Amino acid sequence: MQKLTLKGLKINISTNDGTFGQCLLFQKGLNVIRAENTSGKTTIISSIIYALGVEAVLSAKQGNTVLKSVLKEKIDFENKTYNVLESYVLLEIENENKEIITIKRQIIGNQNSNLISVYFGNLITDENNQFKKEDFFLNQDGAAQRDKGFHRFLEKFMDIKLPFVPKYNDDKQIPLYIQTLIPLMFIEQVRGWSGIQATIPKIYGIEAVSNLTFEYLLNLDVMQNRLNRKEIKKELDKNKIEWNKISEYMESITKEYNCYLENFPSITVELKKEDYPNFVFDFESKKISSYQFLSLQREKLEKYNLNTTLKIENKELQNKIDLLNKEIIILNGKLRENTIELMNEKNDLKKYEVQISELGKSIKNYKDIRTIVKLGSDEKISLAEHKCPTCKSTLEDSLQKENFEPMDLETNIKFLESQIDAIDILIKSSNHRINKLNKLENEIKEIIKEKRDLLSSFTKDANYSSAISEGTIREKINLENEIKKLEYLNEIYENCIQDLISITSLYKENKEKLEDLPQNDFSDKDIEKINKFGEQFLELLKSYGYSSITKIHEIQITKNNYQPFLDGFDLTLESSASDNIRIIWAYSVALLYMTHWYKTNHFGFLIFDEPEQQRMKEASSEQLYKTLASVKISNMQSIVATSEDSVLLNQKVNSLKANILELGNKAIVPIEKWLY
Amino acid sequence: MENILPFEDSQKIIFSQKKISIPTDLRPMYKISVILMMLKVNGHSKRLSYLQVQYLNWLVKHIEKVEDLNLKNDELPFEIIRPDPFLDIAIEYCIGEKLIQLTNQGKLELTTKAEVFINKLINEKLLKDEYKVLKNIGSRKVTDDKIKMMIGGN
Repeated sequence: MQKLTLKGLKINISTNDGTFGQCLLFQKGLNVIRAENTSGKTTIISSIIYALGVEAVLSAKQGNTVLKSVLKEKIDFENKTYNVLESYVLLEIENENKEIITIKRQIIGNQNSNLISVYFGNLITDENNQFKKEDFFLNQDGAAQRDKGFHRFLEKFMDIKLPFVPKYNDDKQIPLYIQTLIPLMFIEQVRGWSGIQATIPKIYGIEAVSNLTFEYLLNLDVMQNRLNRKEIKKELDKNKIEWNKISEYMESITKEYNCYLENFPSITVELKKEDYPNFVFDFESKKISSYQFLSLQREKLEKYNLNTTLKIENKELQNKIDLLNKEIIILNGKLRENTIELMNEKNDLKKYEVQISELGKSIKNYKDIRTIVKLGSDEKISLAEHKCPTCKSTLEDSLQKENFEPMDLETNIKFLESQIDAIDILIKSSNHRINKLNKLENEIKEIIKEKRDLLSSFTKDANYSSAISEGTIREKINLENEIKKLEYLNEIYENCIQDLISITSLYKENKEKLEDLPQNDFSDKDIEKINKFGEQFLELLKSYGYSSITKIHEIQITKNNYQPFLDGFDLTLESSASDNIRIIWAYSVALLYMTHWYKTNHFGFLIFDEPEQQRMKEASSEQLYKTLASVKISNMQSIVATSEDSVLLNQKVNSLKANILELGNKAIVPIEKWLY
Repeated sequence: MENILPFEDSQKIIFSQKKISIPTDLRPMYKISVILMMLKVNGHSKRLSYLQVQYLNWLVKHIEKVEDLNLKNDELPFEIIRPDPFLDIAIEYCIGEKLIQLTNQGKLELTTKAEVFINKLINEKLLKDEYKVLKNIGSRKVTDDKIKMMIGGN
């Protein structure tokens, strides 16, 4: 079924002497608007586009500037000129559920032309009814996304869902705006015939927009698959980042415990027990795991508990004292290293802070300069406008005459601000490191103090032989503390391993999802659709009398950009001017034909403005009308505006079911001459 | 096969010079404003010699150092100054803009047009730091002889 049926159009222009305009009713199937050249056919067609708020396909400008002056300024009619006071356009449309609404958009008048009124009923054919009315806005941020946006409303009315697509050089996703879809369904009089999708607006910065619109209109899965792939890859990256975070965390712990991290694996889909990383301690010139170390320390403690007298031999005592001395020397070395590192870090921090304050001053000065330049222009100082005071030629905004261009003030301010941001980050990380080093320093100092206390206790023991060794008691207490710490370390270790395992399973899941996507992202259904489209395209092309190339059957629709190619060359490059127009006919009509076999997102209408074009005079449009009146698209709608001779036209369409709208010499006429 | 270089498929590679960030000191409007400020604040009946302008410019360029110096009543800071070539260009611009005129004695003098402009600038509290430094120095007598004596060492 047709997603959007155009039921009727009314252009209402109030002048200083009566109402002008036009009113047309459209039917399903083929509609032909016939009028002489320069009579204002295009005004009729652009009014439809304007009413739908998709004038971006007519011109890069938006709003009523795209419309001809006949709708805005003055009308010449039968040698008299009428001034336009107010004008608006009404468009009656119907959706798949047979709901009818009428769009009203002001061209000239009190109401803002970016405000669209929607009447919930057939206002054109039932003028006097008081329908419910609601206003929507257009051409502003959010017109396609917010509920009060007209295109958001139109999207809901048509029961379609516009996909979110990536922008160039931007992580943000924006909807595939309705404006970008229109060039596949509406071929504008001049630019429209210069190529397939020639009038597609590029201002939104959507990446590969012509591909996306084709894919969306044919409802291809490739679009979703591609987005999914991107999404999954993002997830995989996230997994990797999480993985590395754990590695960093474990690494940071080792310093505190005086151990190493060994065998940290790279991310995998399955983490086996033998691949687990380990905290490793140096113990009597051997490397042992934290668990082994813990059990060794426990055994040691056990011995103390058995040895109730806690007495100690002299020789052993001397050994302990020597060992402690050595340990203290090593620890002092470490402390010194740490202090130097800390000093360097603090120096760096100071440098950053100086940089920041200098940048701050520069920015302040630049902001002052900005105001000075304004004052300068007020005082007619030509340098403020970068002009030489003597000869008025353009000067660079710098006193240094070198081969470079200085940034303008605004950019320079932004540049300096971005530098401040960067240095802020450096300062933060520097502060972080300083904190860590400070902490480490305190820890080392504490250990040294512990060892010193122990040393002095043992020395005392050596001097006075007493029943209980003070050193041994102290040693026992230290050992107990260390065991507690080790237990805690092992707890952390367990948690980290658990985290790694859970990341692994997520990673595996994502990997599998990625593998499930079809290669090249095209589903079987997609391939079928593209092939069918290609078939239809060729068939139509042949029937239109395309003759530039003899081996027509070898023309293919590529999956890269969905354009017709022959032997790797763009078909449009090898075709004559009139054949290029046939290509556009065939391409647009074939797209509409696809609605016969598949559920697509095609709006269901096709509008051709002057499909014969001047250079096509010799080409027969008879076939075009025939294909447009085909039963395949009897549920759909096509509107052709032409200036073909009326006798000729009637010959071409008299055997077809067609709605001929004859406008004669003038399209915009006084109210009594309107077609409806 | 995956592309080795990201631009393998590119047909054309264009190099374009990026615009660069320059110190505020090089912006003509900044320099001009500072010169005019000197004439207004430190000038003797709004006049200064070229040497005085060079000296004051050196002070403005080293604001933070001047602030650190603990100067006695009539002392002038700095014994070494370097002439600033960009100052010359800025002075030429000032003359071109008719913001400064040369007197018969070869001194630089503030014009009425310049005075209107610089008064606005001071009222708007623009270039506050520069103004403060000049104001501070303004109470001392910066004469050519003094400068010559100081940097000449006799």
